Amino acid sequence: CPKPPKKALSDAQQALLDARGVKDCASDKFKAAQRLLDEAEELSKQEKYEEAERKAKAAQKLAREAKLEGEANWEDCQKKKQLADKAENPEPVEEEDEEVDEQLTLDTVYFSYDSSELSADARAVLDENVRWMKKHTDKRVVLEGHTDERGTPEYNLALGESRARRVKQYAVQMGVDGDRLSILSYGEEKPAAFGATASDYAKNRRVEFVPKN
Amino acid sequence: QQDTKDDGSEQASEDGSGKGIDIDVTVGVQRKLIPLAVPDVKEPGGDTGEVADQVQEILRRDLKLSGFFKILPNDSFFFDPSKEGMGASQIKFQNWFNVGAQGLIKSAVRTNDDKVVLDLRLYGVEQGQQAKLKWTGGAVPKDEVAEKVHDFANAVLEYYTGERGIFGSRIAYVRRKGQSKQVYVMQLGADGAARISKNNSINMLPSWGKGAIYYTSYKHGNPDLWVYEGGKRRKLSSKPGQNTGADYCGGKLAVTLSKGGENTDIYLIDPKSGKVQKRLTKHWSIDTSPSFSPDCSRIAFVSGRSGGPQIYVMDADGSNQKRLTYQGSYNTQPSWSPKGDAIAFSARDERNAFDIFTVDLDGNIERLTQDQGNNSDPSFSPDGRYVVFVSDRGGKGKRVWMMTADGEVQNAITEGSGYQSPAWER
Repeated sequence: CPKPPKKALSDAQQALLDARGVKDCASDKFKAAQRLLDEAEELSKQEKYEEAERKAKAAQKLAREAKLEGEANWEDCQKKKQLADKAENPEPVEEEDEEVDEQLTLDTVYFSYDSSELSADARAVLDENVRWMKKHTDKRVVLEGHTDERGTPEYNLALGESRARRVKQYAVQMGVDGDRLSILSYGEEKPAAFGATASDYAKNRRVEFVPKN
Repeated sequence: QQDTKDDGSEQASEDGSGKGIDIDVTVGVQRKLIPLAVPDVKEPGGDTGEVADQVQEILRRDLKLSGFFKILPNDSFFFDPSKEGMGASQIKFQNWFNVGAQGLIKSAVRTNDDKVVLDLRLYGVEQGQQAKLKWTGGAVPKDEVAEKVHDFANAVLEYYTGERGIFGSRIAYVRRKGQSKQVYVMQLGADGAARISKNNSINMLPSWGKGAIYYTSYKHGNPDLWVYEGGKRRKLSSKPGQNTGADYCGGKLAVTLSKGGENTDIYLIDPKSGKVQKRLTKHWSIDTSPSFSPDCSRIAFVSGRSGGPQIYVMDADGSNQKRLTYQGSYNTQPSWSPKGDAIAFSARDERNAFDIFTVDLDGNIERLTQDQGNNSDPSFSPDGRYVVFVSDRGGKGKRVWMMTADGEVQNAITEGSGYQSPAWER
């Protein structure tokens, strides 16, 4: 009695697998071959073995042509594919990270009254200054400590110094070589702002990073 | 950047002097002031009266600053004193008694070429007799007249209080000059000031040694300790970081060093070579501003070890460190009285104003200034009866003032503004 066309069906499946890699570049032929194979398998289940075998062989032939066609116009078919993708979802193209000469600056660190603790703002400024230090490895810097004029001269001199020392400790912890940082306190003797308002005082409670030339 | 708040310090003449010394209303005087009549100085035959004016002005200002006398105003005399002679027999003591004078100072000067003959006499009005003073008049060179008159005022003070006065003694101070700060020295009761520091950087915290003035200068870019001796200046201690607040006593020199930002502590250094002899404080906190007791056996200082700056005392070898002030949160600038029994200091009160207090060795605190602007930088006089300090009362900027040690009689002794850290010669 007639048997299902197993060999023809498996040859057609194999041909389709081979063409899968380039199926996007010969998509019509590939889809037609796929359809023929599905029909052949259906006929085979309905025991219409002759018809099934004929369709399976047609599927195999078409799959091989698809493979050949796919390989032939692979290059431009890929470009077309990329353009098509971008048009659909323009996801940001990953810019290449070129050397941005960041405008790193050395900023002044400010303190609250009677204190040499580092606030969150102070640490933010310090992190940037540390980056500057790590970029300009040849530079040495004087940490100039200052206070506002309230309080008395000699104790303020010590307070200005403990602020500068606190900044140096932080920078060293963040990896800056301690020998590149020297400490100098002016206490209340060199105000940045001359008034006597709260905001003037705030401007004076500071440590300045002064590069040594 | 230009000193925006130009307080006229540039214009103030080098001698920083001015006639109209600002007088403060004496603060609730309980002490009994001795009324003195000081009629104008006579200059028989003298043409300009210039020397007479100088003598008269020094005499009245010294006696007023002394805080022991009330100088009766000339216009309260209902008779003309210039007609009266110098001798006891020629003086109508009843007149002087009627105007309320307890003491009368008769004075005459005679100038012949470069010499000035001074005739100054103190009379007890009730006794109608001349008082016996440890002072002799006579001829002095013109440029020594001021000193001689100061000495007379000191003798009058001794007559009434048993203790010689301190007029003519010197006070060092710091004053802003443009962008720099300079150390000057003035004579109490005299006009003019001599400049000590010679550089255009910041100079600060002067104090006196034996024939020497110590001060901190940024001249070489670091707060180094310099000494001015015999007209010459030399660098005594230049450790990286602070070299400040030198205090001399009996051959010993205490100073604040921070050794390159290690920590601020008090050391003894050799007054000649500046070499470190002994480290007195080792605490991790700020220890600064040493002030010797008069017998040089103990030292008052400021420490932040209990949180904020407080006054502490220790023995001169650093042992026995003990806290003295337990009121307020910011007590600094100790100045040990030459009488030994009290330490003046400045404190920030609850309204953030600065005032001057004294503390005795049992920790009892007394307030010397109140509600008169900010008062700080106290320094005792050599006899311990006065304190010189800085005040910004009257809104005229920081000026040097002087008060009796009980705070009752207070007077400004400088003009202009921008003053700090007065230090009385000892």
